[in-house]
Amino acid sequence: MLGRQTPDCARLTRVSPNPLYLPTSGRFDSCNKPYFGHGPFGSGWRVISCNIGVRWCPSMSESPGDEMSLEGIVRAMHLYPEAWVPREGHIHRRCRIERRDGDRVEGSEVLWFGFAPHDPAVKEEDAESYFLATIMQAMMEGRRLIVHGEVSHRLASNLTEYRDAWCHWLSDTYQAIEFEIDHVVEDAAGQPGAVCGFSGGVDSTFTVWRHGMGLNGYRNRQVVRAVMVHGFDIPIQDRVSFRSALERGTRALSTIGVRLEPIRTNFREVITVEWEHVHAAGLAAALSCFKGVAGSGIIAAGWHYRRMQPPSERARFGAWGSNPLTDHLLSGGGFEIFHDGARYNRREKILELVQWPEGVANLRVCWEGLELDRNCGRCQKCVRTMLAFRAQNLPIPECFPHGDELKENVRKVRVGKVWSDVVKEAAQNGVRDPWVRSLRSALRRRAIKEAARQTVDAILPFGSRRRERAKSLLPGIIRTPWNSFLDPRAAPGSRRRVR
Amino acid sequence: MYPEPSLRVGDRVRRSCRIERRTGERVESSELLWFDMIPDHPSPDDNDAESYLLATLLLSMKEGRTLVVHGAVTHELASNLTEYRDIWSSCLAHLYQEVDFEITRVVEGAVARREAICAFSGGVDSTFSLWSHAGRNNGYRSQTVTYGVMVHGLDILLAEERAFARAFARAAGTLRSMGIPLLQVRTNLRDLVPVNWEHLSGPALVASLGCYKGLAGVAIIGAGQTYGSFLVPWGTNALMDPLLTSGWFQVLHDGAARSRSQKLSAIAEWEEGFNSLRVCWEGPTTDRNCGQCEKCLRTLLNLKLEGLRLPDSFPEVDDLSPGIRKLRLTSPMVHAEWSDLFAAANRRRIREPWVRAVRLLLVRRAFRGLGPQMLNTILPPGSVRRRRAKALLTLGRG
Repeated sequence: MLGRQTPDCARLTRVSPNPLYLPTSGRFDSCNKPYFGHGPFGSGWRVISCNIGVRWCPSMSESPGDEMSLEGIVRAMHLYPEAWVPREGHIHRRCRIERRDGDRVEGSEVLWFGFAPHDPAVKEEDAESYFLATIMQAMMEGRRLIVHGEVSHRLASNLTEYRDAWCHWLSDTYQAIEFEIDHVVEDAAGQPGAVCGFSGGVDSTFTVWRHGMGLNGYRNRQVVRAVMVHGFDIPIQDRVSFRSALERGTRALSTIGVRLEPIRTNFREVITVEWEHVHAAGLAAALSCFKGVAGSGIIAAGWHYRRMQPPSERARFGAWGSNPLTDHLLSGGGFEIFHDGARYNRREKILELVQWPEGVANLRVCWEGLELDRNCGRCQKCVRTMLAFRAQNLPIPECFPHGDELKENVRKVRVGKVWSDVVKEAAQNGVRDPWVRSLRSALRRRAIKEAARQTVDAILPFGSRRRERAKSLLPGIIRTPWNSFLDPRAAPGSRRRVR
Repeated sequence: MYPEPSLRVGDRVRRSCRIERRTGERVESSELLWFDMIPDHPSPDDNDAESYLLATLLLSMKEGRTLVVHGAVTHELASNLTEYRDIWSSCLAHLYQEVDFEITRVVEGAVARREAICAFSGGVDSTFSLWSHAGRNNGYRSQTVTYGVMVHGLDILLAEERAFARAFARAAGTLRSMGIPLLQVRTNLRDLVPVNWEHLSGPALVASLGCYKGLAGVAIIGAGQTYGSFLVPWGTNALMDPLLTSGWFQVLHDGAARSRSQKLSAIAEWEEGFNSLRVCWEGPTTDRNCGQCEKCLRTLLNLKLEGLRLPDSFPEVDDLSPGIRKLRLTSPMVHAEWSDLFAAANRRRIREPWVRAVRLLLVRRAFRGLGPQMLNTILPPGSVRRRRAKALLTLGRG
């Protein structure tokens, strides 16, 4: 049913008490979600025609029968690729995004990608970048996505699966919308070579290094460009920080003969989907602007396969935009997306990067600090990276400040389960720094919390009514002024309380 | 690996490959891996070694041998299998080593055909995939399925001739109702490759289907695990199956976004497919459902959950609770499936005895998992305390 071209209106008629079937093989699931889904139609409703994603008003199901109508509820997002515009030394690829409710235009805005004019261009009517950039926005808004441009058959097919995967993971956030594409073109052969997204972090630095040095066997790609995107982690207005980050990246990459190219976009101003979900699609959209020079786009892995092992991580895993499961589904005809480096964990990456001093000296892992072109040395990511160096008995690179405050900073950040590897490595390498003890205590605290969580899971299994009841009681318990029961002096109005 | 010329063996065409194990110059053993396919269909080139590479990669990793392929393999497959190897060797380093492979002829710029074939066992996943693609229910993802393929020698072993004949006849009848012919492949792969079947199932299936790449360029494999609950590494899942894709033969892992209940609801519209479902592989006969094993019980509960009638291929079971009580959920993946089932039953406010039985089953398993968790909390891995406790235990045993 999903993906089928269905009529634009829904008309429901109560006909008989016997279960019936939707003409499009769908079922209206009135218990869980007010959408048409799969399966037999449970109650006595007959759908003359329907539109996927039409919201059902719960009160309608309670009112007695006769004929009801949901006609004319069509929410769509139209993408119109526009002519390129030269601006500030860049070429801007542009697309007008128009939101419509039926025939009424709700709003219109322009999404653009600006890049250097010297690269071979893709066609103006090529809409793959825009399709990639807006799919999650349309899914979030529950709008049919209508692309008035060219999209390869492979991308259309892959994004159908991409949509389904995300709807499966986060069905409350994303809807299984339909696509309509004006021109579905045959898959073309891609150019040789690859472009690689590069932020200056451990993952992308490692990926560029491995491919640049030809260390991936048959999987190796010749990196013809590394691409740093202005408008993702560094806001489009902050030109100074971006210029500085670009200079550092260029300095590092020039030593292995890879050219770093900037690309600017207003993606994050137009797309309001949570960044943690949409960053891979955004990066794929930016990289595919380079399909004139390369046939592959490489997205450096932040995950490693061993972390995907326990299925208890299930739904949570999917909530991260870039992952080895769905990144390859961002591939189009002539432009393949690779999720690269998931075989290695952060420690292994750092161990290998040590062979490239310029790469290590210019690392930029931080996105929480005040200055976006450098590391703050205090946030969780900075601390984790510094610990990975120290656990190997390696000096902390100069690009990380506050290396002497590790012990204090470990106490302040939230530690993850994988940090236990750092403790093990420190023990193996005979590192006895003060931070080891702090980290061990933090991990122990975390493990106790985890055990408590598992005990609760055992007593109140997921999805059980007991769990739901306990959850509903929780806010009341939290609001209760327990302090006043335990210690009368702490009751509201008491002297201690006032003090 | 040395691909051999195709031969006519009885009423079939045999594609084969000599697997030679060497240590230095010394030949340790030589065996013949074969795939028998139905004649009168275009078969792949004799030099095409992709099926053999897929079939033996895990074996060579298990034995820690460099894999030398004296045949043609597309660059896409070589690239994908490099990543595939890395997943196994990084996640299960104690079982699989990171071996090198050398390929004498790497083919660039290969083009696949547009038609698709679908692996068909008669189970819920493959029946759903075939049904949804034949009905073009997958939008732009829909494929033109020209054939179904059933493999003899994988989940039904070669020795079980009669069981396979019955299962094949039933499946062929099912597909006939949709106008899709069913082909078969026989292989001695499982006799020759002593690797855990749960690890080997994906590459073995793709290697077998690859015999028909002259007919189709896309292989559809029904997903047994959803995007929400999958195990890495595993023989077949949404992460690993796409890495079995070659330039000539794309592997489409299909239906991972649908739960088993959703799939059953969709299949229910296809009378023949629904009535011929074969999900059981633990019962006494592999061509029918026992109604007692974990998978049969889970499927029966999925049917109850969706309010669907019992398919003809299932025996009538009055009370499912005793069967559920006897189960032990060993695999985390199966545990995830039962958790989803339980959650769905509660969402729909089902108050039948089996819901209680499922709850007890889940609680039992959760408490079993608590022991190691507590131990890790008290004695964290790698800690001095843990080492001392281990030493004390060893002393005690001594």
